[in-house]
Amino acid sequence: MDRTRAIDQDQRAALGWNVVLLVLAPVSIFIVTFELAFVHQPRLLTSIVIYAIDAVFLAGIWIRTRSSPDGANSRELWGLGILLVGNLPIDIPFFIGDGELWGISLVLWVRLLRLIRLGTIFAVLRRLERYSGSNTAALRILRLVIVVGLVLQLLTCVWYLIPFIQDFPDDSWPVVEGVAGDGRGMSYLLSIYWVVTSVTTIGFGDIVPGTTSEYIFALFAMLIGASLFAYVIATGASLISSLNLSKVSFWNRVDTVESYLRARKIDRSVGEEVRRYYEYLWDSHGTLREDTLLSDLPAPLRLDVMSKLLGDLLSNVPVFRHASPALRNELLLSLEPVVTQPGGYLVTDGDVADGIYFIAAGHVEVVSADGETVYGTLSAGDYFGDLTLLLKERRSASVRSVGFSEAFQLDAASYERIRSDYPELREVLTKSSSERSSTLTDLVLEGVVL
Amino acid sequence: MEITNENVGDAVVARFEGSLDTTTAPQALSRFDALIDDGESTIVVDFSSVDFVSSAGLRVLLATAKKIGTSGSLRLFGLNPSVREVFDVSGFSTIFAIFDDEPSALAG
Repeated sequence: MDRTRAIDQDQRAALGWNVVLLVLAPVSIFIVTFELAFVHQPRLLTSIVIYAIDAVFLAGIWIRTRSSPDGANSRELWGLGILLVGNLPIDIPFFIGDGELWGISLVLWVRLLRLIRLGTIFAVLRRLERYSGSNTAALRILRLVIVVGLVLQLLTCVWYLIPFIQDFPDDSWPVVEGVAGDGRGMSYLLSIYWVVTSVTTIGFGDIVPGTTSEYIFALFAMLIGASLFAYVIATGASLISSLNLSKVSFWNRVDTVESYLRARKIDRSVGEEVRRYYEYLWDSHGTLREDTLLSDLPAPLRLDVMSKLLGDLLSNVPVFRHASPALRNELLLSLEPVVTQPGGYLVTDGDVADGIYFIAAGHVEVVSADGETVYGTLSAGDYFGDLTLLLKERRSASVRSVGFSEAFQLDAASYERIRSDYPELREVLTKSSSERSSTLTDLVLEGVVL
Repeated sequence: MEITNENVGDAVVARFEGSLDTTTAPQALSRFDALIDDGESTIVVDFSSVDFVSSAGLRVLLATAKKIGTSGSLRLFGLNPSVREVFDVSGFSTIFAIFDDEPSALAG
């Protein structure tokens, strides 16, 4: 059951709310750990900040519980219980009596329950990933920064806490460095300095462990540091390789085809033509084939995406423009995009009619079988193939692309099917025929039938 | 292919029977040419008994329409559904004057 359902209804508000949580959770964890390790006693200002942040988190929990339907299951109740423990100011009663443990106020020890918010941070990151699919690279960087920051902060606090709890033995590092129990700023700075030099495996050796406990912790910190370092490197590497993932996979495919052609000793000019074709596809479409790329999508969603993707091209095709929405959807699913490279043939003389070609972009020329004689030129809005399809004749000319051209083919079987399912197709074609150039009808006089 | 002529008022009605394809097209063309040479400017073609028109047939009709030009007209009627589809889809129905029946074709 999704507790965030009510908030989800307004995605923008939900996004803002999650960002607020993502800022406040690390801030509260930083304050709680810093005060415990370096200040040892609760201070008024930080207490106010902590309780204010608690209030925000509790408000969030309240909204979510209210929005979740009745009869939440035991797992949800359990989760809710943990959340409440992590966010309720249950440290307040400990102000009474000024109780201490190892010289640190009990209030601060109890406040460590706020570390439960670490779970909230990761839950929020997961939710944000859902909202902003394409920005996951930025989110992964954010996750990296938060994880590294929090690990460094926890190590820093423990590195100073160990000698503090032991009442600063003479050989402990704060005593050696002269920061034992003094100014919070300097002890924190030196502590985090040691943690960073150790974790990054730099280890200058100017600050070294002195007591047994410090040595043990130093070992632990170095092991944690190595894992953290590996995590940083791995995330960085995967981020770089995942940037432009689609571009990389597209060009890998092109390289595969090219090296195959080279291995089979195919003429170099053919290879160059293949390359140009792919370059055109990438520049104009950004993918090999929209329809196969989107084949995982359910039909209604795919139609929606296709009509937006191909909208510009299809607006050049009169038959598509004049069609009713239902027929348009049927055509979207049936029309096969045909991209032809300069000098490439869409159809050739003598072909059996295989369908109607609607030209959406570029120019094509109607030429004789040998390609020498050019009868005429067709451009966006024109279509051919209808005569041979309906008359069941063979083509008596070829059609060659001048530059790159884009056409949509409605194959013979689809034409028959759509014609019987949607009688309006004929009317739409009649209307479209008035918008095409007279080239083809004029060519019939010369015996050219496409 | 059988072609018969009949003068109705100012127009001449040419009744075609059979298929207008590669083999019969030359015959149809010479008949049209003869009618134009005889000074007929309004030619009405009865397609009711034509079962099939090939690209050669379309070519004859286009050539005739071109010869008549703006001085007269070539009118067709009685096209069967499949022939009508060819005309509609290919845009020939906007080039020729196509009518449902003889009286409306004669009336223009």
